[in-house]
Parts: sequence; C-alpha cells; structure tokens
Amino acid sequence: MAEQALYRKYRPQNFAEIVGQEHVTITLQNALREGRIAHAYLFSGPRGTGKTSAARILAKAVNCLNEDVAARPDNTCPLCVAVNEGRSLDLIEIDAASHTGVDNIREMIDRVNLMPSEGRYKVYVIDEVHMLSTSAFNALLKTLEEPPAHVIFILATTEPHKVLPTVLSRCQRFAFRRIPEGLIKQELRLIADREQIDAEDAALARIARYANGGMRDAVSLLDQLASSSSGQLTLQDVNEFLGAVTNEAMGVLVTALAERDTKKGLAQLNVLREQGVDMQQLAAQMVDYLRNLLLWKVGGETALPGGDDAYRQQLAEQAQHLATGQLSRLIRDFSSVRTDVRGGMEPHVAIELTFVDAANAANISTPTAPSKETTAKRATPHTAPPRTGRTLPPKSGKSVAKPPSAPAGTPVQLDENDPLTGLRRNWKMVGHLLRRQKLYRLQAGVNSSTPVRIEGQRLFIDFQNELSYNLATQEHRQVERAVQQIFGEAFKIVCLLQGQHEGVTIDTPAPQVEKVTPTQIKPDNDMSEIANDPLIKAALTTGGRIVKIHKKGNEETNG
Amino acid sequence: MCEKWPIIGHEWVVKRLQQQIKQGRLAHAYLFTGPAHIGKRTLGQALAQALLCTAPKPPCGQCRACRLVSQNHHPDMRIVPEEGEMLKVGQVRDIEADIARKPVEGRFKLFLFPNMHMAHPAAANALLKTLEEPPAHAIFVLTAPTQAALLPTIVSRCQVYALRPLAMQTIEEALRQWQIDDARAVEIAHLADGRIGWARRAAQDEWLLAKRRQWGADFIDLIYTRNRWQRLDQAKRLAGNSQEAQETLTAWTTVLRDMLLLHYQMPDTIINTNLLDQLEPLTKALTVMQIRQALARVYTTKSYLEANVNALLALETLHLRLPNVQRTSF
Repeated sequence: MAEQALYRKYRPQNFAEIVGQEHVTITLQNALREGRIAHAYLFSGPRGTGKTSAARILAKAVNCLNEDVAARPDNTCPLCVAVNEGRSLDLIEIDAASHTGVDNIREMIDRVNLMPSEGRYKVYVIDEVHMLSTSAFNALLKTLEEPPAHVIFILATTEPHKVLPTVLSRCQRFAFRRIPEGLIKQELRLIADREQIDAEDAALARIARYANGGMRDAVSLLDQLASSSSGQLTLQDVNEFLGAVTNEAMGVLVTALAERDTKKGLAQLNVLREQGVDMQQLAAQMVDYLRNLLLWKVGGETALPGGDDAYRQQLAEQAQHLATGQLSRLIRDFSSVRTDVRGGMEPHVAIELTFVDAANAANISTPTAPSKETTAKRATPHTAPPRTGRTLPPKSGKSVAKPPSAPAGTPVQLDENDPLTGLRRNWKMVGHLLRRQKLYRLQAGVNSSTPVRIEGQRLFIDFQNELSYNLATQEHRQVERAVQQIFGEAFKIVCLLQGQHEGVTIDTPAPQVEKVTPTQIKPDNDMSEIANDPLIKAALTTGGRIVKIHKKGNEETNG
Repeated sequence: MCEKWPIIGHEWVVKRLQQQIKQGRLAHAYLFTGPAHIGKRTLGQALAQALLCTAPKPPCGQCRACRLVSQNHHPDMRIVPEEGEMLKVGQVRDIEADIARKPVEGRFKLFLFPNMHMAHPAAANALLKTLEEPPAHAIFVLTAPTQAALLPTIVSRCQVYALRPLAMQTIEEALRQWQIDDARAVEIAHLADGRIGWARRAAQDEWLLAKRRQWGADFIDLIYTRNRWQRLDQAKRLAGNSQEAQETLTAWTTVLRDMLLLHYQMPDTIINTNLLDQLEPLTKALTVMQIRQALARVYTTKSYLEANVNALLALETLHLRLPNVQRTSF
C-alpha cells in the first residue's frame, strides 16, 4: 500500500499552520471575524506556497459550527471533519486543468443556485484556474460577479497573468509569497521530529534551500530521502541524492574561473561528472555561489551571514581575485545554461562552454587599473565587455578577426590627424551596436559600407549597393547616433552609392586589401575557374568582390 | 531483501527504491530524468516488475507477471502514449476514468508516461490533479530528459530521480559480461558516453557501431572539404533521413567537444578515441573560438531540426558555416 505522501499528511489544517503567508492568513481571519466574507477570491503564487491549503481552510472556516468565530475552523465539528475526509458536499473542488471547457463551467453554474446541503455556504474551489478556456472564463463572469448569497468562489492559480482581467477585477486577490528558507527548515524539523526521522541540521538546510520557497517541494524531498535511506539523514546523503556539490569542490571550480585556468576547470568538471553530479544542479549552485561572492564583494562579510568558517574564508579569498563586473557576467552566463539546456544542449557541454567563454572573454577585455585589494600578481580587469561568444563565427577559410569589443560608454579615441583610419578600423563596431539595438537590416547595410572621407563634421560613407544606401539614407539618424556613441563625435552622415560619387574626392588612406573589381580579373586559369563557379557568379552580381584567392594546398583526398 | 534488479549502474536509485518498497513507503509518482538511452524506461519497468511480481523475492524476472511486464502486456501496467507519440488530453481523461478501478491482479496499478516532455501542454495540465492525489493503489512513473522540460507543477508532484551517465568502467564491464571482445568493449564504452542503453544496442547491432564511426569520420572530412558544392551535397544527403540527421549531429557535438578537450590537452577524457589521431592536427589548425562556435552551431541546428524546420535548409546553412581546414600534405 502506498503510504500517503508527507506533504499530504502535513497539509495545514488551520490558518495558524500555513507557514510564511501571514499577510494572507491574518487578513482572512479578520474578515471572518467581522463577517465580511467576499464572494470571490483569487489565490495566486508559486507552487507549494499554500494556495490550495488556504482555500480548503477557508472553506472549512465559513461552514464551521464552532461558536467562537476566532477558533474556526476547529477541525472537530462534523462539517470540518467531512472536509478533512474529502466527503463534504458543500466544498466542490474543480480541477480546471482537466475541465477546461465551457460545458464544465455551464454544468457548475447550473448547480450554483441550489442551496448548500449542510453548511451555511457552498464553496467552489477552482484550482489551476489559468487553464480555463477563454469561453469558459467568459461563461463564468456573470456568476462570478453576482453569485447567490450562499456561494463563495475561490480561484487558485500559479499564473495569474493568464487569467482574464475581467475575472481578476471580480475577485479579492491574495498573492502568496515564496516561503523563506528559515521557515521551511523549521517546518521540516517539526515534521522530522513527528515522523521520527533522524536528520542532520545541515541536511534540512540544504533541502530548504533546494526547495526554493516551495513547501511541497521541501516536504516531498524530505519524504523521498527519509523513505529511501536507512539511518541518519546527513548532508552527504542529500548531496548524493541531488547530485549536488560540496562547497570545497565548488571552490575549486570558481578558483579555476578566477585564474582563467580552463584546463583545471574542465578537469574538475570531468571528475564531478564521473562522480555522478547533476550538471544542471551544478549550474544552479554555481549561480548561488557566485551571487554569494558578489554580495561579499559589494557588502563585505556582514552582507552574508551564516556558513561555516572554512566557507567564509574561501569566499573572502576568492572575492579578492574576481572583479565585480566579471562576477556579474559569470552569473549571467551560468544562468543561461538553463536556457541552453532547454534548447537541447547537454548540460555538461553547456557548462563546459561557459568555462571556455569565461577564459576567452577575459582575453579580449580591456584592462583597467586593478582594484585596490587585487594583488599585483593576479591583476584582474575591472570590467569585461559584453559577451561576444554568440556573434557570427568567422567565415570558413579566412583568418579569424576578433570582433572588436565595444564597451558601452567608453568612446573609441580617434587620432586627430587621421580620424578616418580609426573610423575604418572600428567601423564594424557601429554594426555591432546597431545589432544590439535590434536594427538588423541597418546593421547589414552598415557592414557593407566604408567611411571614405571626413569634411569638418560631415562623414562620407560609401555603400556597396543601392539597398543599403537607401536604407541608410532613410535611417541616417540612427547611424549618426551609433557613430556618436562609439567614437564620441557628432558627425553628420552623407551617404554615397558606390561608383556614383559626384564631386566627392575619396580619401583612401592605406587600403588594407587591394580592391579588385570583376572586370579587372586577370585572365588567369585559376581566376576564370573561380569566376565561373556559379556561387561566385551569384555573389558578384549582388555586389561582391573577389578580394583574395586562397590556393588549394595539395589536391584534396576525399574518402 | 529484494532480489537484484535487472539494472546496470544507477545503484543509488535502485538502493533507494528497494528501501522504499521494503518499508512500504512508496511515492505515488516517480519522475526519472536523464539523457536518451540512459535507462529511464528500463528502470520504470524494473520498478513495475518489483511491484507486480508474484514470486517471494521480487522481481524474479521469471514469473508470469514479470514476463507480462517486460512484454508490456500486464493488465495492471499501462504505458501511455505509444512510442513516439505525444500524450493527449483524451488519453489523460481515459486514465482518470481507469485509475479509480482496483488493480486486476496485484496490489498496484502502474501508469508509465515515457517522454513526458513531449506531452501536449493541455494533457500535462489535465494530469496535474490526478498526479497530486491519486488513489492509494496507483503509481505513476514519468520519464523526461530534464526537469526543466516539464511543467514545474508536474515536477513538484513527483519524486524525482535524475539518472546520471554511468562511469565508463561500469559500461565496459557490462559489455565484457555480454561476451564482447575487449577492443570493441573499450570503443563502445567510450562512444556510449555514459548511456548504457546505447552501449547495449551497439553491442548487439554491428551496423549501429559502424554508422557511429562513419558519422565521426564524415565530420572530419567535412572540415577538410573546402568546395562548397561538395559541402552542400553532403548536407543534402544528410537531410534525406531526418532521424539519422539528428543522431549524426549528436555525434558531431561529441567530436567537437573532444576537440575542445584536446585543445586544453586533456586527451584522456575524450569520447571519440578512435578518431584521436585525426582530431589532433585538426584541433591545432583551429582556434578555440572556432571550435566553440562550431559546437554552438551544431546544437542550434539540432534544435532547429527538433522544431521541425526545413531540414535541408538548416543543414545547408550549417555545412556552409562550419570551419574549413586545409589538409596538410602527408
């Protein structure tokens, strides 16, 4: 016989037992005492915070036979007992998730007018209400607005934003909050004592943290651990079960990050994986750990109470070697592991890539003066540029040009005597900036253009094709703004179309590659062969140029 | 004490499940998560056998109940939906009606939901209430690749066991027990990357292993291929079989990951040991960012294929964008 799960056994039975939701329970109790019961409530909040429990308790309280209003529900009167045993006729629980249709709601509305069978009120609890179809919601509206005096609706949902505003406005709304770790731990201790589960304090603390504010998660985890292990429940047990990592192992990983020792990091990850650590759990723990480091760094030791001495010392040591900007970037990166995994990436690969990126981002960051605590030996850059790992990869065959980094707010200094060279060299950054502003078409246009001349505040830009030219002419303000943001100078943009510069002399300061137009191709065997390649032909007609030809080394051996 | 379960590895899970059965404190819903072929379904089946077996030491694997379970014919075990299909609301309603009835033979009624992440969202939501408070004789077993792929409300109603890749050693030993000769056992154990189910299939099916080798070799060839026509041609061939394209890309991710590991001088940890000689020069020729971006690309393309985009288009783009290395003279 499957025993009742602990979270069902220890469902709160009265208002006092609901943990961490005083703002809800006290308000409800006051309303009951003063007899001001609303006809419709909406309980919203994350899973496992007490919505369904509160709904049932409220249902008991309004019907309870106890003389003393403050003592309701007393859980001893026949009506309360009926609810607790799940056989009350006046508490109708509807699972909206499996009864989403309008017919289910109509059926319910038909019966709303019937009087309660035993108690004063008939209470309809509609759980997971966000799943109702739109027409079902609409069918409910009229009844929800003016139900018969003997009816109370309690709607419960984890996703209030999916509930129609017309429904929301007809309900008294109570938002349940995530339950603080400390309270969850207390409750776990209480249950453990009653169930005679021998559990370490640290183990319960770990469970409470893992539950992330959801009591049901915490209690089921305790249940699962207690029922499946013999003897005392230790922190090690919990870690093994969750595939979680100890603080020491975590420290090794973070040190590897701080020292940009990718090899060490990957090796440690490999060891952990062999030990059976859950990589997604690891990413979550990593975010947690880095956040602690960040708090430590910003607020000093007092910002982070708790934790044993060894752990605190570890944090203090590492906080010195990691800059604030770096920490916040790492936190972002490790948080994105979650989305990567959802996108089908294997968790360990996602984390490994984050380690690779961490080292690489550090290589292209702009070094600034090391912070005062940083030792000279391990001078860490203050800020790292935004992640460039996801930008387009270099085209095959060509050498890799690192995309120029563009830390927002620090304009690129242009040489006063020769500003054009600087502009050209960093012209790609304008494209990058536009891309970040989601102006993709404009970015494409700017990427196929070159600044050719500066006259006072006028900047002449040469576009390779008409499409880009038209677009940039239209949106020249955006380009001007981007240029100003990057180079710190307010230019006025003049757009030119290639081959049609009337009266504009073009400066060509030391062009990096010899421009070769299709007509200038020497009648070389190689050339003609390439120019006949249909792909190349197509490229040439859309404004491409043959810049350089890589000769094949040896004849390829395929097979 | 229970008989040994027919499961290789995952001792920590088996130990805990056995303990629960022994103490009579079973949960009403289990969720096994882990990558494909890691043994989620096998574990679910073993649990079903352990609960439905009629022998004194369950699971015996011999009695009628055990045999019926392994053939998916036991009246008290239902697997919904069929292989490769997605769970629909209608099926969930069926189950809701069915669940109230007492078990036919044993004391339990098991409901297996493989690949719960593929369930229609409405179906998953419809299951919520039943999953929360089922009758005492009902036990649910769900499987999914990750917790994140399911509704959090589903996950929080289940006891979750996140199955982890097995150590290579364990797989190698298992393969030896199945009378696989040493060299092949080592190779399969490496390529399996912790997935015992794959190792088992590869051991039985010569063709599968040969194909897996071919995929790795294909990738290396592709990197050496500069001619874009040839690349597009390859993409076209790959796009012909969408199932195989998925698996090919998975193989490619392991090759690229190996290249990353090689870049950081960690040759002992790589998976495609059979390609080691060829991967080394290739890794030297590419920058770490190139490898990293190629890896990201392959993953993106894989997710596109899963999302049912035009396979040819996605694969062509991938083939054109993967880096190219000149083959140095031998």
